[in-house]
Amino acid sequence: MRCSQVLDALDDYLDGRVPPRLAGQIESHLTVCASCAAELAAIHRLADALSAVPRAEPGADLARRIAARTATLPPPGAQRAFRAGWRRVVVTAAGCLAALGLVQLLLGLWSAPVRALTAWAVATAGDWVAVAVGGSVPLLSATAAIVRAVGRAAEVAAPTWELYLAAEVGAVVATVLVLSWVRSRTFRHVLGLV
Amino acid sequence: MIRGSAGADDAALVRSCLDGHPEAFDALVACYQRGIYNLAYRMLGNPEDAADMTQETFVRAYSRLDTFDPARSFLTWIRRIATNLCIDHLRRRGTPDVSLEERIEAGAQHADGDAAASPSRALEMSEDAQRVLAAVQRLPERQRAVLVLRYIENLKIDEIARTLRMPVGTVKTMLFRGRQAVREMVGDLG
Repeated sequence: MRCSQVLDALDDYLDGRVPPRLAGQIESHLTVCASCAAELAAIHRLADALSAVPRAEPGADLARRIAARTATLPPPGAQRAFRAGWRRVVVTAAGCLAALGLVQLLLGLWSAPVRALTAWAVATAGDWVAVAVGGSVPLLSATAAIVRAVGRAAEVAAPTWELYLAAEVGAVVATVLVLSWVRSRTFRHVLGLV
Repeated sequence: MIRGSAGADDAALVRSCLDGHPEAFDALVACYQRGIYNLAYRMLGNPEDAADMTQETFVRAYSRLDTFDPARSFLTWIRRIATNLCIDHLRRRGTPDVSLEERIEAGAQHADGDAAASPSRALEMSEDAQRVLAAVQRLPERQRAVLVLRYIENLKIDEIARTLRMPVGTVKTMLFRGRQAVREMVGDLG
């Protein structure tokens, strides 16, 4: 065995993590190589010196300090619930969007006349007509209000159907996020319910 | 070397804590605080920083308890948190330009303070141990961590690699260089 191989394997040898055959080769080398034997002895001296370092005692109040700090934190499970909550949010939002898209498709809302009708309804007849045209219940009243506000801000006389759809999607996502947050353990912790 | 409870007990305590019994965490603190404090003490070289890092370690562990894998060792996990916090702390603090002799002197004063705080267990350290420890505490952070884990915590190479999330080869190289550096600082021992 070469010295470099022995030195490379020396820590594993000291840990007892080399096969018996390799251990035998290392031991044979150490009996004939003064340099490697000196390295091993130096390691032993260093290890002996550091293993003689006594254990220190932490202050008596350390555990109390730790407990005081952790008491101010949300329960550890809340973090997990929060992350799981986000996964639920994403899945729920995706499901809602898919369902809405399907309903709109079935109702033919993608066709040009209905798009025009919806845009006209939003622009002229107010929220409840928009809800009726959209056919997807109360959420859309808020959506229509958003569309109208955005339309006014963007100085669009009759908001486009794409704008309407984008606002609808935004409203669905926002609603799901708020509901999920309210249901989350972290929120309940903030309210002091857990 | 840190002594803890059995792994299954630790996993049960973690599960209990996650199930809404935060007091179970106190048992983990009671079990490991001394070991983590000693690890931090030997990494940082003074008792005040060691206490702060121990506290920070348990706070970090508590807030991330849900990321702990119960199939693995809690001790390895919390030791990793502590070591990384100490390394970060040392990087932020920078390496003070302190000679080996000054560091030995400072270490002796801390040891006296500890002995006064717990007279039943005076910390008497041999001159060799003081010199080597002072030299270790002058090493770069990661080399220092490797030597502390190896010779004070008595970890095997693969355990150090797992704790520091380093390849085994890197641990061996750091160990070799760290030993060389210590020897250059303190000369031959014994």
